[in-house]
Amino acid sequence: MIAMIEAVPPNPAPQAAPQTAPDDYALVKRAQAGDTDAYDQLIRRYQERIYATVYHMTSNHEDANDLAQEAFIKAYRALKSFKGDSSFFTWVYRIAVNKTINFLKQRKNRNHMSLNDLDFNAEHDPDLVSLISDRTPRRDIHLAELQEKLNAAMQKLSEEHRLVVTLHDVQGLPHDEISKIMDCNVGTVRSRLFYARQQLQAHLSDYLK
Amino acid sequence: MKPDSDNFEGLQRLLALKRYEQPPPGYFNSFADRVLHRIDSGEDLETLSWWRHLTAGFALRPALAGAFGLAVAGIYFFGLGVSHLVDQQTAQTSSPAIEPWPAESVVSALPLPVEAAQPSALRTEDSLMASSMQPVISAGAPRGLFAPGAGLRGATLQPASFSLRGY
Repeated sequence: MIAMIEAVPPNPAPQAAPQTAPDDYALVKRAQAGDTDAYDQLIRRYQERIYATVYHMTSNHEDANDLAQEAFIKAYRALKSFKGDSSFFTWVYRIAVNKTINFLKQRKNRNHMSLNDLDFNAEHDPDLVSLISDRTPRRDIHLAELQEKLNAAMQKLSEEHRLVVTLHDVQGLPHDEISKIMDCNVGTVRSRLFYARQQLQAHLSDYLK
Repeated sequence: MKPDSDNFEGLQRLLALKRYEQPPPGYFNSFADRVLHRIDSGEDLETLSWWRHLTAGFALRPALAGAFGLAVAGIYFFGLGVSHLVDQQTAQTSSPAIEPWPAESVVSALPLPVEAAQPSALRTEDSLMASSMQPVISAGAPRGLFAPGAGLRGATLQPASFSLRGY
């Protein structure tokens, strides 16, 4: 069982933050002095992970585009107040997450999903192929339909529970990093993750037998 | 078979599917440039974001765009109707003060059975000139109603009773 879990492509996110921290610090110092090239490098370093987090929270590419850009803009304008108590990675993540949660609370009824952007490589992932063909009762299920069900189940979670699942199970961040981003203790992260998984499992039980 | 509540192996594999949800190819090539451009332009995030979300909503939902267009058109025509109504009411209330001549023409067109001999009496009635909404006939009770003979001043009087010759 453990081997099967590890067979899922690892997410590079967990290693990135601590290893790049010194470089981040130097870039932040330069950006605080008005060097936009330095901030450009910071954006390029974290744009994909910030975008992905926002996207998995909203299930909408247009919203993710706006919110991810606005998170970086807000971070730039608040850069003077960044003291370096946490890493830039954690700090900008927190800005993006707070912005996204506020957005979702303002637009409770909005439920757009962009489901036609599945990466072509997904069809060739052996784990996903086996998951669909062997373990799903409806063997003829289409990959996009499975994705739709998954996103619908994610949207049923509260923002906090969805965020924990996104950061840990989708993006692969460790518990302590998530606790810093969400400004709560590790125990809260663990309990939220457990509850969120239970909810998802209940919603997706037809696909997990 | 019910899934084990503590075993999330299948769920985690399913969630891995979300890692394949990607924006269009090349999207991140210009992402930083777009952010820096917006920073340089100094745009106000709060005021622009609602309009961007609205237009994005139009792109996603053509019906929403149609409804918005209908609403704008409805507001326009409603405003147009209200402005016409206000114009008409303004014209009605202000026209007698601006153009007093119709009152005189009404007075001259009316039959004056008794007062015809004294046209000056009509000119002294202010109420006749006040408004076309007040009929000139209702200027008061006829003069002879409570003072018999008063309205016949100057006219030839005949006795109510007379005798025929030879009787």
